[in-house]
Amino acid sequence: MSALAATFRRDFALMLAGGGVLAPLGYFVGAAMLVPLAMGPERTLLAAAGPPLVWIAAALAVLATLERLFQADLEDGSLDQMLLSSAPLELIVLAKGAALWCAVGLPIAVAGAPVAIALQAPPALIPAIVASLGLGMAAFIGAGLVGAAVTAGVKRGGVLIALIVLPFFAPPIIFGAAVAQGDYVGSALLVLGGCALAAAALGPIAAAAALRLQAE
Amino acid sequence: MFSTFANPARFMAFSAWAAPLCAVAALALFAIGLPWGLFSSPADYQQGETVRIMYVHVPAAWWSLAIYAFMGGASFVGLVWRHALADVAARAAAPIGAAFAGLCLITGSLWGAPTWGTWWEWDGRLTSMLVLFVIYLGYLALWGAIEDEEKAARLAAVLCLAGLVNLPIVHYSVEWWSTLHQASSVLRSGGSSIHPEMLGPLMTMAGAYAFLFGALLLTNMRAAIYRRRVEAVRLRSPI
Amino acid sequence: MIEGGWEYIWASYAVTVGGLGAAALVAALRLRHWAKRARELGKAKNK
Repeated sequence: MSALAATFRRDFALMLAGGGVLAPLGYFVGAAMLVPLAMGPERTLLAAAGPPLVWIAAALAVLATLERLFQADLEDGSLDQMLLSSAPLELIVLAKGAALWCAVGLPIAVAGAPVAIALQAPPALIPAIVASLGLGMAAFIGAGLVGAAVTAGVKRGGVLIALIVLPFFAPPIIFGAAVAQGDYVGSALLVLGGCALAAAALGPIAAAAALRLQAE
Repeated sequence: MFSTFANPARFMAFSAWAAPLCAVAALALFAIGLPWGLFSSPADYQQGETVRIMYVHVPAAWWSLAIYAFMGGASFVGLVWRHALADVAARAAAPIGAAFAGLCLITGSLWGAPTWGTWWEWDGRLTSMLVLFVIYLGYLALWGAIEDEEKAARLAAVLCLAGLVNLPIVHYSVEWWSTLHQASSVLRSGGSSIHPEMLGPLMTMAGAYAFLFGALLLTNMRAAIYRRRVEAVRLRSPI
Repeated sequence: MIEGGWEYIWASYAVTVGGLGAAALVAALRLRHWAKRARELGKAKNK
């Protein structure tokens, strides 16, 4: 247990160090800012289609954080430490993912409230949107763990990670967008919860398998 | 059967005759199926002549999915049993599956233009196929990005299996979403049930695609094995 | 019933035959290339 807590605390601290949470947040807000500009001045279009686009910004922001997730550990030998640790690698990876969610996923979900409002979401929908973003970020991170683990040795693998991980982002985005549109909010949130649980359960397993292969 | 093909030499002996055989069978079935689909088969009562596109679109769709499943199986065998040729088979199959998926998308678009009035529809099937195409691209890109062939094989196998889990989830999600947002068109591709006279050309083309996959798979695997031999010699005797 | 549409049909079949033919050509050329290299190396080793 202590190994997991230590991993969580270390990663969380590393991510927050030097204002580390500001970059993904800034990316999130900045990308969301481009949406109304890309939609043109027509107000009704933004009202009809704007809110779900918060998900594009969220996906982009989390993609930016994935490249370094295991790269640093591979380079400085921390990966070998993790392999030697008494705790199973799967749980250590889960702890890393949890740290990423706390440091990046949760802030983005909360920041989703003002961003969704800026994208003309009806205020009554905001709590559901924030909840859906929280769950969606967990799903994104679960898939991102696999993509980052599989590409850990590759130099400048950011684009490769994005390509690999995008198909996994599709289901959470679909159901998250439904919430943002106000369609079937209850069932969509349930499915999102399922996605998040599946990602939290399966992501670390696949990522750990890949990391063991990396260390060979 | 797997252990027979674990030996590269025996595989090369097998594929030396099996690959040309598949190629000939594929050519024959295409030679029968293409004119059958284009001319001799009946027009559809709703879609008219454009239903003929089904004979090149549907087999490509079926096989792009089946090939990914094949890659999943090969990846699993390679990961669990370290079967020498399973990784080679998975990588050799990928560009074929990607080509079929790409053709499915293009012919689907060409089918949609006259029947739906639009070059693209975000319906369940086309969107899932697009995602499958991206999955293929990611798999191929990963193989190319990792220098160590052995490591690349294992990591790509993990990715392939993860994608295999994801594929039905994506399909379900898109179907759910598209039934919500789809302005249902009467002219849905394929219709409710296939006219029996259309089964003939469709199955012939399905067989043609199958044998083409076999021929291309074996050919790609042979090229990969030769390449490995060349690189092994080069490694042993650096000049 | 939809009338005509033959341009789309021809385009689909042409893209299919062209695409699959290209895939087959690439596969055959690659095989020939690597088989040749392997044969040459085999001959050089046996000299």
